[in-house]
Amino acid sequence: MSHPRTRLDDVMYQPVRFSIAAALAAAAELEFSTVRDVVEISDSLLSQHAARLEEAGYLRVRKGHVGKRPRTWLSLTTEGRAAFKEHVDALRAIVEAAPA
Amino acid sequence: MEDPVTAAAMLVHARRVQERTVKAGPREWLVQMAWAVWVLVFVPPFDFISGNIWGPVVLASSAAGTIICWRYYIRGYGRVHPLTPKQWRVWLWWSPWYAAWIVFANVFKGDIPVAATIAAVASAAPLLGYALRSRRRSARQ
Repeated sequence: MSHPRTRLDDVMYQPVRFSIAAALAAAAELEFSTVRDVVEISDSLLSQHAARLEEAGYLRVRKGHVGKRPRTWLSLTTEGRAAFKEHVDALRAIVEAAPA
Repeated sequence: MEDPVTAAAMLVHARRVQERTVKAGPREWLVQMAWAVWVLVFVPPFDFISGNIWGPVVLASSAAGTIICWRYYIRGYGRVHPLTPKQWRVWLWWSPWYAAWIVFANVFKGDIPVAATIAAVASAAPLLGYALRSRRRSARQ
C-alpha cells in the first residue's frame, strides 16, 4: 500500500492555496474580500493563488455588481471540491499512520 | 509533507478558516430568534392595550424588523453563499402557525383575558426552539 503522501494534491500542497480552498469548501460561493479576510492575505496574493487554482480547473470566478459596485465571487468547481477532499483525506491518513 | 505534526497543523488550520468563513455569512438562527422574541414582546400587550393604540406600534415595528432582516440577508449573502440550503422553509410552516394563533387570539379575546399572551407563547415557542437548535448545530460545525 502506498504512503498517503502520494495522494496529496500538487496544487493544494501550497499552504495559501490550501487555505483558500478550505475557505471555499465551507461555502457555495464567497465574495473576494471575504476570502481575503478569512485567509488573512493581501488582495494581490489572493489574486495570484486564485489564478493558479483557476488554471488547475479547481476554482471558478464570477464577476457581478452589488448596486453600482463591482464584485467578484469565487467558488470551487466540482473538481476543486474533490481535490480538496482528497487532499484533506490524505492529511488525515498521514496523521493516523503516525506511530503513537 | 510526511510529517504528521505538520499534517495535523494543516487540518486544524483548515478547520479554523472554515469556521471563520461560516461566521462571515448570515446567521439564520439569529433572525429566527429575533422574530420569536418580537412576537413575545409585541403580541401580549394586546391583552391590556387597545388594538387602535397598539396596532400601529406593532405595524411600525414589524415593518422596521422586515427592513433590518432584508438588509442583513442582502449583506450576508453578498459575502457568503452558504452550502446548506437556506432555511427559508421554516417560514413556510411558521407563518400559517402564527396566523392561526393570531386568529385564535382575536376570536377568544372576549372569553379569555390572556388570549394574546397564549397566542404569543404558543406561536413563538416552536420558532424559538428551531432557532436554538440551529444555533447549536452551527456552533458544532
